[in-house]
Amino acid sequence: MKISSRSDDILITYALGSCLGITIFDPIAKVGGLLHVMLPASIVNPAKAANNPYMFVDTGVPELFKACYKAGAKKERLVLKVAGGASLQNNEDSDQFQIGKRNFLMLRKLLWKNNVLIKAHDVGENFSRTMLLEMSTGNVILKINNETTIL
Amino acid sequence: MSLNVLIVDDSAAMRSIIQKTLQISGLEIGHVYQAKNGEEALVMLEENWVDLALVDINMPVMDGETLINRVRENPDLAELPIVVVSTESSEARIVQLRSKDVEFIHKPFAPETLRETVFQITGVDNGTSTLPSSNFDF
Amino acid sequence: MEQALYQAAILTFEELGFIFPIERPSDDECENEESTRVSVKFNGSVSGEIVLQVENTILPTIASNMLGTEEPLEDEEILQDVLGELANVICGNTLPSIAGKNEVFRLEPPRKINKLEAGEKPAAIAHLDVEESRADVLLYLN
Repeated sequence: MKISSRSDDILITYALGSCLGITIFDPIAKVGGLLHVMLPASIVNPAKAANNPYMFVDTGVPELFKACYKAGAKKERLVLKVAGGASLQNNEDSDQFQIGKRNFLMLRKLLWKNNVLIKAHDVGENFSRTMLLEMSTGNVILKINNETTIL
Repeated sequence: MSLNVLIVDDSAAMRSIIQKTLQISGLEIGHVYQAKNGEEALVMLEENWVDLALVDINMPVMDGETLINRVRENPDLAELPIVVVSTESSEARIVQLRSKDVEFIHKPFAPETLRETVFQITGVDNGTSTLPSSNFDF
Repeated sequence: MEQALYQAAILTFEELGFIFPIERPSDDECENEESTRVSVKFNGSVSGEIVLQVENTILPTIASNMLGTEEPLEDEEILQDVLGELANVICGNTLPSIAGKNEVFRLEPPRKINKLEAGEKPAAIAHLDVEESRADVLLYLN
């Protein structure tokens, strides 16, 4: 997890497969954060979650919000975007654990229960994504197979 | 300006889901009226100022299509922005409903889809949040 | 037909219930005392009903997910309403796949039923595992 309030920063996470990249940004306080989570639920390994809450959606996302509040962000202004959650198998049927899909579903449940809606998302499919949060603008940039888009 | 909203659905759970979505959408929401069928909705529309109605189709007593027809025929209500939120899947029927100047959202829907549609139909592209304060986790 | 039922049920549990269902073996037993059941009747070019039964161990969690509350919901009226809406949405999403995209159906309001009708054979069943519990969707045609 990375948090910043410096306008010359660019927060980056590389090669999101089934993992999710989650950015939040407060355009007034100019505070933002980027979280890279791997698995949906901490219940599968509470010891690991205690040691590294950022691995799991259900423990990592609250930490992301809390860290941004600490840096001056306000919940009602935060803009949340999400990318990743791919199924990197050749076809979705052979991806029996469907971790990418489960990650996104867990995120949506957690956000719904905490009164947060997603502003933009690019999830699923079968390709890897690199995600950048540009602190000067709040833009979230995706790099997919050498192509760059703004989310 | 805050929007007064009427939610018409025979399921109390669905009315709650729609109300919660509106309240966290960033729209400034005023009064939220709830009706469980078209007949109740018509009474509420005659007694209260409503800026936006979200209407299910399959309901007992008076269904959503009859309600929409009655609203469109009434000069005082004819311009009311309406979003149909329904499991209706018949393409022919959806085309017919859209011809009554309504937006259509298919159940099950992501709350984000409802937010975008409501922004579109009310002409609001961004707003201030009316986020409830009861946030238990973050 | 079974495929359509599975697809509609999985979509509905995921989108409305924020829960990830998995298909169970199709010869699995449906009858279960500790479940809550609703029926949604439909009339159109084909008529029949959809019965949704969900084990009581998971229903409060599904209701809490749907309504976005912190704690599982225990109120029987709410649980019944939540189950009815799930059945209604599953029904609405199954029908176009079995009857065609332009057919119009009339869905009756969901109705609580106490047990499955003995002797009536469903046209299709979707057996699902939702977390550690079971949910079944049965489609009957007249």
